[in-house]
Amino acid sequence: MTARIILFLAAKSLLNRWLTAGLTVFAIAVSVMMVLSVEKIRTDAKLSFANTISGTDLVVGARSGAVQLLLYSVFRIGNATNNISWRSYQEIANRNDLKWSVPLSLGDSHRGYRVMGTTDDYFKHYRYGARRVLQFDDGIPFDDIFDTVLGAEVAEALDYAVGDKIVIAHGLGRAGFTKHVDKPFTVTGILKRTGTPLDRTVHVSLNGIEAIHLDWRGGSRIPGRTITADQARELTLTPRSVTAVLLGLKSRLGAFRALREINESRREPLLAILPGVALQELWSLMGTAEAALGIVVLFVVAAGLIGMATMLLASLNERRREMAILRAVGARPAHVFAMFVLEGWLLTLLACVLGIALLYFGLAVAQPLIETRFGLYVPLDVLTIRQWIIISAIMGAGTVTGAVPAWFAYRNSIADGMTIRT
Amino acid sequence: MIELSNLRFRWSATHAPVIDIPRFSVKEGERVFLEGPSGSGKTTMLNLLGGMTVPEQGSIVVDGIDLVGLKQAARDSFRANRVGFIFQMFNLIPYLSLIDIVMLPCRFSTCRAEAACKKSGSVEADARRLLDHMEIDLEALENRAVTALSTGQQQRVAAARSLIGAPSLVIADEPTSALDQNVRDAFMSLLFSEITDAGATLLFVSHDVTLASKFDRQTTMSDINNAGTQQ
Repeated sequence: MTARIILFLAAKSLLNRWLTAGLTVFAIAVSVMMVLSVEKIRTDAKLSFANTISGTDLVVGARSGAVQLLLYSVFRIGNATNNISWRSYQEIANRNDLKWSVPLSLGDSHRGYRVMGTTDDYFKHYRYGARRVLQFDDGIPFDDIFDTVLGAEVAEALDYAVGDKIVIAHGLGRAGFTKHVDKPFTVTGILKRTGTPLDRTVHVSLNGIEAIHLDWRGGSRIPGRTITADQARELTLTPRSVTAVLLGLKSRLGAFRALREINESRREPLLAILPGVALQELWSLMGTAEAALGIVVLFVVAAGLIGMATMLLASLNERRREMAILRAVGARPAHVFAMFVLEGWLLTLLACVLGIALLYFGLAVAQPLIETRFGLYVPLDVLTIRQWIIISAIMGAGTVTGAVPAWFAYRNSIADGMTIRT
Repeated sequence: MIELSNLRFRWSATHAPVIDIPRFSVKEGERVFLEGPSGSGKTTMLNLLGGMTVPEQGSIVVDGIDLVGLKQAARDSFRANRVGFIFQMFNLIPYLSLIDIVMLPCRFSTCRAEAACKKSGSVEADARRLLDHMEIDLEALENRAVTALSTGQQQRVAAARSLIGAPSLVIADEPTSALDQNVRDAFMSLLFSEITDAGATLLFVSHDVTLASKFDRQTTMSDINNAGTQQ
């Protein structure tokens, strides 16, 4: 019975101080939202990365870092420092331990989306998530030199349909006057959404990439030389180089041998990586940033809770009279203690509820932005067990924080009794 | 109702005693006027009677219960069950409604809640009854903040709170000192009629001796407390 009146008093007293209580709740709620979103982005980013590539045994590129190669070849983040020569590519592709090989050529863009030259084998062999095959939402793979297949996000954001013509820009700048206007591409297919960087990729054939660069040298148009699209068709369009190669092996057991042999290639410095291993390396790189972010967020939560303790402590003196009246009508010092702890608990509870609401509201607003900007798909799903553990920890910390002012109130109420002081 | 004997109290071993009462008693149903200027040990005596503090020596028996042998928690429930307090001013908790304030003692004491229910059917009904008897116009005042009430109204609400659930003892600590004379007289007559109605014993502390004649008995702190003069 007394538990109810204590809760009632705690709630009423907070309601009476709704402005300070509200601001305190808001401050903690923001910190709760931050912790939860950091946790969410962290897990979703990992999941999204891990889901992007599967079924590819090796990725080969020019010699650089394993993480860098993985990032530019698979996640379309950053740029290749160098390419692989066509002859090297052919040497690799002719290895007899391969089931398949797919060359990739990167470097151009279409309205902010990256253009990737490849072969139609890409659509056959590329796997993502739990070894899922790429599927067409509409249309078919490219066939002609000037055909293109769009990722779901590209088609949706730019409102393209099969049959539309698009112009590819030279380089990766969003705006640019250096466009391959003379050689437009026709959309032949649109892929189903995968939740991976593929959704933001414009796929064309390797020959297409070669064709639009025929009359270019070193990043600009060769003056006085123009080759029309039709003329280009007549020429041999063997690429001079590719950016990276994805390999599928007949037996995964051979992966380390192939890796070693490619890495020791005499023709040019190459780097072969196991995507899983490179991902692990990426995680350990991210681990430091994660830990730093985690500490920052922890301090934000601590600041919020300290704000709450300050609010409760600041009210102690003006509430001595109130405590004395409660003592006079029969409240024990323990009841006074419980009342302050409950106030802390209630404030933290409200903050957690509000924080969760803010999280989902923020996600709903930021979701499309995060997807287009960072290629990260953050689904609005239920809270994970880890997130619930975080919330429980914050609830616990809030209750313990409330115990500090509660202890002072307890001591005051023993000292004051029911003698009312001003 | 109250039996004090050989009561001594001091704040610490190095302090002089503030209470040294060889003998003081109040009969059941008696209304006693106790004149006590500041520094007379009055506040300490009320704290002892309410079971807030324990004496250095001596015995305090209130309503048949020896407070000295009880633990803090037991003294707290004794106070909740049997004593109603009215203070000089600021008796009310600013964030509660009038009804909630009057019902408060019943929230901390089952037996007072039962007594209130027995009297009026429910605790809330009894709170309304008492407020009505105390001439608080609930219709007009119920939804007002208690801080917006006049001092006279606040003291009448405090009286209703002290009386709910039929406590055996009501202790009033200068309840009228903040009131104008006509307000004070109205308060006194309402308090007296409710005390009679409830059959409670009243210990009324004040230095307004003009009120003393209305009581069954009057005494002063200096008469009962040998330690009162030192401050």
